[in-house]
Amino acid sequence: MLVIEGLGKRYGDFSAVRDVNLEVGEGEMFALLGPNGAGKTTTLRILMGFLRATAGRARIAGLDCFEQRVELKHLVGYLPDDPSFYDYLRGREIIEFSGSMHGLSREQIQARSRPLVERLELGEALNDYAVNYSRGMKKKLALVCALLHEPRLLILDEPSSGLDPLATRGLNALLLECQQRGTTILLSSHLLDQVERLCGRMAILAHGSIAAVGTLEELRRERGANQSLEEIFFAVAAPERPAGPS
Amino acid sequence: MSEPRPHAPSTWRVIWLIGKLSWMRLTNRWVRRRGAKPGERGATARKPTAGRLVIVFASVLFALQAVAGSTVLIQRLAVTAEQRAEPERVVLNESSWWLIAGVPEAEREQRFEQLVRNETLPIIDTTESEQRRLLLWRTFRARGLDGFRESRLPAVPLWPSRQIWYSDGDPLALLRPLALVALLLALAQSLQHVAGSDDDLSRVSASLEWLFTFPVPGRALFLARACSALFTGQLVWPLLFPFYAVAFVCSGCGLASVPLAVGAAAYQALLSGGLRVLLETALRRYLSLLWVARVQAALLSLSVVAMLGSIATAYSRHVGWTFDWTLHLPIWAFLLPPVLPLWLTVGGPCAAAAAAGALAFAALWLALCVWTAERMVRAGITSGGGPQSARRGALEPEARGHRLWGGVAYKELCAIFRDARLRAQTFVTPVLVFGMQFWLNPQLLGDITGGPRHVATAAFAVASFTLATGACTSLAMEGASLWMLYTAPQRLESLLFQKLRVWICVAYLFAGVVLALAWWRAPHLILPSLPYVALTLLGIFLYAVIALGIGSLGTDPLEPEPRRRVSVGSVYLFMLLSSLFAYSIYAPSLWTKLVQLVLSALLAFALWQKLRDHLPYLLDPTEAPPPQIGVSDGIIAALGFFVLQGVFAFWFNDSGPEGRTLLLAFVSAGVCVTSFALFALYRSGVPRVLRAVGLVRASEARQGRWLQLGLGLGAGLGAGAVALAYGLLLHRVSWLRDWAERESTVLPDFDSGSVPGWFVALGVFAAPLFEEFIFRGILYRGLRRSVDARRAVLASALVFALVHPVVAAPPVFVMALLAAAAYERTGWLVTPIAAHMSYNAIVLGSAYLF
Repeated sequence: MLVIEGLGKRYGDFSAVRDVNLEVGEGEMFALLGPNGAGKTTTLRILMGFLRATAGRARIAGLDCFEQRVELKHLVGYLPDDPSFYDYLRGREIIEFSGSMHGLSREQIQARSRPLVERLELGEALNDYAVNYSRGMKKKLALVCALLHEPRLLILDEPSSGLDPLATRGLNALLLECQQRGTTILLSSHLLDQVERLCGRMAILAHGSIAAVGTLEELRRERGANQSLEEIFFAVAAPERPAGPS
Repeated sequence: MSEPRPHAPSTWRVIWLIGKLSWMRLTNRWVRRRGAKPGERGATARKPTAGRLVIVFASVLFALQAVAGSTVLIQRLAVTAEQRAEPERVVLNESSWWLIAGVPEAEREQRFEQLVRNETLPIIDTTESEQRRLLLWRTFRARGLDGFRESRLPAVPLWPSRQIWYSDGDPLALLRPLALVALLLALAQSLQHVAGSDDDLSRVSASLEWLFTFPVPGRALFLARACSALFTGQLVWPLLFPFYAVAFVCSGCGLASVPLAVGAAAYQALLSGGLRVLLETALRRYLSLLWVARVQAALLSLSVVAMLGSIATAYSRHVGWTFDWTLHLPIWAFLLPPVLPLWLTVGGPCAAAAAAGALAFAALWLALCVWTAERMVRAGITSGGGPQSARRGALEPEARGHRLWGGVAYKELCAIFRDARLRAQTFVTPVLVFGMQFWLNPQLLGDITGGPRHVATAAFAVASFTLATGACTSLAMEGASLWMLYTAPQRLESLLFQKLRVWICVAYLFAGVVLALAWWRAPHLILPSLPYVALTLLGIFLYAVIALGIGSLGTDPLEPEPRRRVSVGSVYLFMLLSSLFAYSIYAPSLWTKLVQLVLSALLAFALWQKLRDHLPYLLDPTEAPPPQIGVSDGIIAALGFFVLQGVFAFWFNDSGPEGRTLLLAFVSAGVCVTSFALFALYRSGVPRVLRAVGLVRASEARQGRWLQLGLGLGAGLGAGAVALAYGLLLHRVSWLRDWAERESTVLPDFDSGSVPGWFVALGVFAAPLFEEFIFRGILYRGLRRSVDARRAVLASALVFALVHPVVAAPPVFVMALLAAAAYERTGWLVTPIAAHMSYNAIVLGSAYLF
């Protein structure tokens, strides 16, 4: 589904991403981990066609992420880290707008958004203007917009940030359901326990490169048995720093 | 033992730190860091583009206009003051005076007729012109030469100087009317700074909120914010500074004028900074967010009124009303704080007292504003939310039926009608701007309805103004929500054009209102104005696309400060270009109108092409589209070619043969444009430039070089045959012959025994070489990138024919078609050059022989 080969992004002398090679299969839930500034968001933005890679290539379902970015949007749903919405639109209008931009009719938008809205407990807030939403509610709204057109691949940048524990649980259940329906999910997250619970495979980015990739068991085999994901993360992403109390 | 807590910084330290921060922000934007490498991200996401030169040019033009406008204002005020000082004698400028004073009495009346013509001809307003004529004749007949006196002021001020200041008798003669203008400017600047262009007063900015997390007293932050107006006040340096500088120079302040003007502009900036701190805190404290947005919209509209009042006064011929208004005002009215800096023009103790007063007032004002604001935020600063609010609750049942518009267009409509600021900017500002014109110039409606062309031009002017404020800022309006457009499976340029539909409708709406008003007043103009209105409606559509292109290319969507997202130079450039379209409405010939329309369409296409290239890289702070030859390069080259020909023709104009001057000008312009174009394309990184423009033959070309040359010659011969047939038709058909004779001739008269070598060199060698490089090598290549060969051949041929005289256009069109088609086959510029050369040789030869 997703193939990344030798991906690199440079800004002058600074390499935000370098030589990233990754493959994510159809129906997989894959996590992109890494410390702040590791290049996770840059990688996701390259996949979304916002940025052009300076090296290598990325393809989703055989389509080049930059050259064929318009066609790609039919297949991909995106949730940014900090979504902003138009001040002058209500929540439901934003959902309608997002659906109509993907070519859905009003009936389709209504039919598809209703269960998502109920699931994410957004119903009462949809009459209000999105500018008045809390950060977590904006995330939920953006997630509804990302799922509306039933994408084959979901790209989620820090999906749980800003969500309370109840909402996070609801989100996790929703993501698992999507995966069971065949949607491939690529998410970046700092919540390692969430990643441990949800994701089959994961990659840890450090200084723009892949430092480790595989299932949790594979990572444990490489690094040492019985280590938690957190310990593996510290060992891989910041080996020079002491892990500290767990 | 724990370390003692560090002392919080003092107020002045805080101001120093925040001021230093503002300075660093300013310098990081404009100063390239040492050692910055290509591709390295700068302080902002704005990438250096070639358009920066155009924006700098537009900004310099704006600044020069501010200086020129201020100079003309002072000169007009001085002339009026001079006349009013001695009302019994009519003041004449130097040339008019010596027209009648330097001749014997017997000739004076005849000369006086000429004087009256000279004086009244520049006056467009017929009523005013007639009044001036009557005054001059009445005075002359009653008192002869004694009824007149020579002005001590220069007639046409080119630059501010001491000579254009008038203060005989009354040192406050010019201070009074200038004070009115200064007050209007200060009001406009203050309101603009408070209401802003995109800053939302209903929300505390993230940067201010962040500063409040520091252990510093609120008064320090508010004082720093007030002082930041020195850097963020949009009108302070482009408008206030030139106004004061010109006033001080003209009043004789000499070298001190510039520092004094800096001080005056800074003073006004501080006053507006304090006002902003006070108002934004008070509004947020005492009004709901919805009402804050409405008040902001109202203040923005008022700022437009004040701005227009000052500009209209500066550029109006009728400045006498400023004297009438201010003559009977008490002296304390001229001691209002915004007027104090102008007392420096009077000099002496008054100036010193005014300066001291201004400093004292500024300090008191800032102290008052800051203290008041600090008291208001004792309970905390408001944050979050926005002006829009609605009751939450169960979702209403969805309305049945379909909207007329959906998607992006619907979103744009919501923005216009729900955002108070945008609503005011879209509907109220144009009404204020143009309504003020009618109020200041009551006979304007009569002038507009004086002819069908005026009606159409007025409609176009209003429409293009709405486009400047709407379509130009279309991309910037997306703000931080731009990411939503990127998630849609549609090209961004397509989405922008969907937004444009709304703005085109707004522009048509305003144009329609103007037309309706004009036709209601002058119904007899309806039919005669219809052709011009059709031209106007087409022009509105084209210039909407141009506005979108220019505005979007000048937008930096990643710019955190909303008011900096759109470069002001872009908007100014658009208004400059749209004003040129008015020429097409007034052009006497249909051909000129057609040329203007096609060139406007070509410009719109060029901008669309550039937009299409740049939009995919909009969110990338360093990457830019790969350099390619574009239609805009062809337009710039063609424009430069024609302009330089005129410049060189003027330069080389001597007593020699006309043909030699033409040839020299043509070749010089051609060499300059060709060299510069090749250099510019090379520098921009276009790969294999010489091959890209066709100067070098492709090694993998299918045809041999002789075949390619033969193809060109064949095309030229074919076109030449068409030209001969056309010439025969012109000669044989009488109405065609008459038409050709009415239009200007393109060929010189040939003596039967001489061959005009200059024209042969020009027509057969120089013209094909340079014109083919521009129109085929660059323009055609640029077109070909975006359209198929057939359309590119047609378009380049059409443009080429249009830049020739109308009589020559049909065969030239055929030649250009064949030349472009041949160039498409071979990719070698020699082919169309050969076609053009052979064509011109046939045409010139036939003109000589027959």
